[in-house]
Amino acid sequence: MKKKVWRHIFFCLFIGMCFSCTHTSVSKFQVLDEDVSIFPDIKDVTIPCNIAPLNFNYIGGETDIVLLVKGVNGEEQLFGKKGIFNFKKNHWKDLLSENKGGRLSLTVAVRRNDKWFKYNPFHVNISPDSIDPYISYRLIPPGYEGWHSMGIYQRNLESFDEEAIIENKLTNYNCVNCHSYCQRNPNQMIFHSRAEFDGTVLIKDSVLEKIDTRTNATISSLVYPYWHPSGNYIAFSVNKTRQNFYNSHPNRIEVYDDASDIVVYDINKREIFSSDLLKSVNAFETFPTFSPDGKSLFYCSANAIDSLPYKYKDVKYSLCRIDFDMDRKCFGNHVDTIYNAVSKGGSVSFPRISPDGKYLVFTLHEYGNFSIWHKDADLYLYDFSTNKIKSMKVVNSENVESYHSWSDNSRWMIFSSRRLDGLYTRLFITHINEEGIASKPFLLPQSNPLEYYTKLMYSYNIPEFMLNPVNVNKYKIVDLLRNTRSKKVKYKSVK
Amino acid sequence: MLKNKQTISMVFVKFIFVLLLGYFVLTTLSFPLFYREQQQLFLFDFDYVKSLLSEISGFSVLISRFLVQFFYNPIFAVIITVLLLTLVAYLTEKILYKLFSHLIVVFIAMIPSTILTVFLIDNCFFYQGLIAFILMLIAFDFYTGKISDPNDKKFFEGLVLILFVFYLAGPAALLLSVSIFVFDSLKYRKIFGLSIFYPIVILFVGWLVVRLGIVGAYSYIFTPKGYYEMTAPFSPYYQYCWFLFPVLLILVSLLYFFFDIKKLNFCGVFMTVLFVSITGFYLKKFFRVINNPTMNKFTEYEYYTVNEEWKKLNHSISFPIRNQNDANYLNLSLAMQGKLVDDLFEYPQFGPRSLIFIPNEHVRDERLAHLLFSMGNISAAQNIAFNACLSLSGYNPSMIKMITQIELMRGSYDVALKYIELLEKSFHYSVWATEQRKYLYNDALVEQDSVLSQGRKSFPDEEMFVLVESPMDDLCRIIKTNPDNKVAMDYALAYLLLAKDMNHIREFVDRYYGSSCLKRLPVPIQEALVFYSDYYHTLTIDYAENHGISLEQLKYHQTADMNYCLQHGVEKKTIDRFLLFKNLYGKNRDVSSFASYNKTFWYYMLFVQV
Repeated sequence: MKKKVWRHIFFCLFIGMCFSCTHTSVSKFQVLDEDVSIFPDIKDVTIPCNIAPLNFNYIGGETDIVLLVKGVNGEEQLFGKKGIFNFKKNHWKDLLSENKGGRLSLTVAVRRNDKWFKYNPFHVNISPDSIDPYISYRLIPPGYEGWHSMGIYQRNLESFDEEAIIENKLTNYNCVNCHSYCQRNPNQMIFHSRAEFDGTVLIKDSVLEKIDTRTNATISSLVYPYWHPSGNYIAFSVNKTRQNFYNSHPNRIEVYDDASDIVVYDINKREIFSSDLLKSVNAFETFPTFSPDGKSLFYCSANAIDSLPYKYKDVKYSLCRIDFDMDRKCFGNHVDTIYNAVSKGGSVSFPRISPDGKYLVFTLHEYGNFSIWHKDADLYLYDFSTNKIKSMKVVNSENVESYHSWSDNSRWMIFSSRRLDGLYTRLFITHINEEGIASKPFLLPQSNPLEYYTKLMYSYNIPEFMLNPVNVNKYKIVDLLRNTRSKKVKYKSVK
Repeated sequence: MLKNKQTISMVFVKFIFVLLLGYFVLTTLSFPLFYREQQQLFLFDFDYVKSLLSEISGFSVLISRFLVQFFYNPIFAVIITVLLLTLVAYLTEKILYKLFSHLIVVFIAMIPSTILTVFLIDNCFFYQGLIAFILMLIAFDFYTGKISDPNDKKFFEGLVLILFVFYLAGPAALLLSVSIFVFDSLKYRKIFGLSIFYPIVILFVGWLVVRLGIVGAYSYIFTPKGYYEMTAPFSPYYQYCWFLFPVLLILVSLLYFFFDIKKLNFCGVFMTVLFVSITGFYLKKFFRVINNPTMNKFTEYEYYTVNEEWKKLNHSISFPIRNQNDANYLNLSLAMQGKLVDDLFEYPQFGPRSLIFIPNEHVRDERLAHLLFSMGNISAAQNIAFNACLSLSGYNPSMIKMITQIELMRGSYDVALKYIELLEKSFHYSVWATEQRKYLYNDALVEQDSVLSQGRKSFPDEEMFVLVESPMDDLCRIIKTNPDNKVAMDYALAYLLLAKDMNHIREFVDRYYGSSCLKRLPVPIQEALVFYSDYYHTLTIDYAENHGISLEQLKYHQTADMNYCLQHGVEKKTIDRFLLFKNLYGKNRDVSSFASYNKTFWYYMLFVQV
């Protein structure tokens, strides 16, 4: 008898718990003629059809919140918990596939004194263009000279999964930087390791190599890389970089080169070569980028200034182009100036060409080349068919927009921006259509974006798209860095 | 009766040991332990705890960071540390008793805690190492008590235990497995043949951990190097001392096998004394290697600076001044008490570096951050403080506080909020952090706060980089923008005095005498001004021209006559004293004759080589 009573009690408790965990849908709403405050801002953004759930936080005091999600298959309700609207992975996938090419209408409603109130709806456009499934980036404190822990990570864009490619805690907290892939292919990767266990790590089809890129003919080790589409060459800048801290300027810090050149590394012959036009003592050349056909090398060039750091504002980088003959390993004998900083003003950095070869996006700021510390830095788009340059207004903010890279289908661009708090760099993704028109960007999705970005004390650095994840065992990289001698590269003079 | 007597004497011995331990920790480690607290920020945050526990050895990190957060008070630090070291001695004794239940074991049991005390002197040896050792002892005690039965074969339970310790404490697991093997061997346990597999399993798991890229090198998973700052050089003494524990087991067993348990004979005592002496000898040598008096003193200076106890900082300075560290903190204490210029020559000074020493690589330099912040060089302080806040084990809380204040001064409220939210998750700094919330997005309130408003006003109008030239250039720009910054003004005047730069002292007096922060001329400035006046009035035109001073410049300098001095704050008695000094200098240039003037600018100018 006693057992029976207990059984009934447990059954009732179980049923009660089940009911307490579910929500009954809300049917009556009063309309608030107000825009809802949410984080991140996803109002009217365009997202890829294969992106991770676009969870967002409601910024308001109410605890009872519901999201009305309206798509082609009607409206459904998603109850928020602790201020966050968390889409289930499969449900989100279904929503995206059902509404591909269309849009979702999202309305946040909150309960106040037992009545539900609806804010104004907003929309999320779902592009039929898919995005590369992976990105990689470095996470580093936005410090000025020192660092402790950092690493290069890869993130699955279709979920929230992030894993380390290499973390410097495995190599005595040295510096790892400048990761780069050949046309988004993770099987062809390069990155530098500085301080202890220094060298450049080259990964090509699971074969790892550590190279010492210092030569007597170049002013430094190889720095900013860009792979030739053939996978046989990598263009690098060599830079003598300095940095100084402003006494009051809101930009805080100025990083500048007091010398720089461009060279190309022949992977197969382990040789470096260049051209007099890219190694001029009268100019600072940096940020090389090959065109998708591999026949042109784009880069930034400024007249050399000898009174640095005092004349730092006089350093203005133009966008230039030179022919490159892959078979003969030589450059053209004249340089085209695509954007003349002297006549047009501003200074160019990070030119990046869309894989379809139609557009080039670069960062433009008042002076210098280290745009991440320039609050005025914005993204500009150059259209090869019209030779016109326009500001990507919908993408830019009042704060920094800097490093960017293109997706494989040329429809998406990921870029770094400091628009959220002015210091910690975050990643945004924008859609760029066939006509080169960008859509309002969205913040890299996270499971709980507000909590994640509030707690994250690192900046994102060098976001790069990848077609697949990097599959090299970390041990192999660590073992290479720690226990293998670097192979020396040679400098070969060419005419 | 005899047994009672022995027990009482052993309790007394233990009491004396704890007392000595406490005394040593109190006198030697209290400030270094405080500095450990400055190297981390324990957060009451689920994700923080989860991230620690997701790592091998993360549990010991978690426990150590939890305890170290209370070290903001050196007394708490001493109490906690002594308790833990006593626990080490207690557990060691308990374990050794299982091999040989004789009172002599008490002395041997003191060795590991003594060694760990010496380890803790080195700031690069993480507190986690102590916790890991305790976890190892607890596991060992558990094994020898519950699992180890001479007639039992609980191999798998032992295996689970060592793997669990591997997860909780990392490298201590190899020590545990080796010790278990030694213990089982000495006890002739049936399991003894299998115990050999414990270290083999740990070696295999460690190998796997390295091969999976979870840990960078084998030494970090098998040896105490795993509890040591990676970027610092690691002394092999740590290895010897760490693996001494199984040797202790063997020693105790030898005592058991070779000597009568009831009355330990002379050889037994001799052997113990010899062993303890050899260990003590090497420990002393090790102590000399890792003990760093400069670092220890620095931690004391940091304690008083962080707590803004300027008088105590002043009294803590060791004399004679050995390095720029001593001098910088001494002058900081004077500056913050508002008597930097007045009392400057009360203490030995060795040029402008006595005020601020800037090393070529200024990373993780809390001293420099405090100095720059106090002298109003806010941007430079931010740069240095940000580097210093990336400490060995997380964030340096004092540096985070500083950069929070700087972000508030800058009006970068979003970033300030980020740091406030971080500090609010800590135990000791949460109240301070919450208090700062009122300044967020409230410029008016920031401008009412004495520290924040002074800092905000001190961002120079004239745009330039900081620390490019001398710190004096930065100070000039700060004062030009904010002449009310008294500490900056004092630093600037002190800098000029120590640089023996009389020309600029005159310029400063011309420009700022009578203003709010220079209403009265400090005596050393009066002395400098009188000296300046006299110097240029005694120069011949030929001499001046030969020394690069144009006639025009000379004329300008000579406009500062004694009347000028009197009109610009120089007291008559200073002029009178100078005349006596000059008279004496004219007759005799022997330094010893000027002992009564050794606290004057004149003495510094003429007899101290910069």
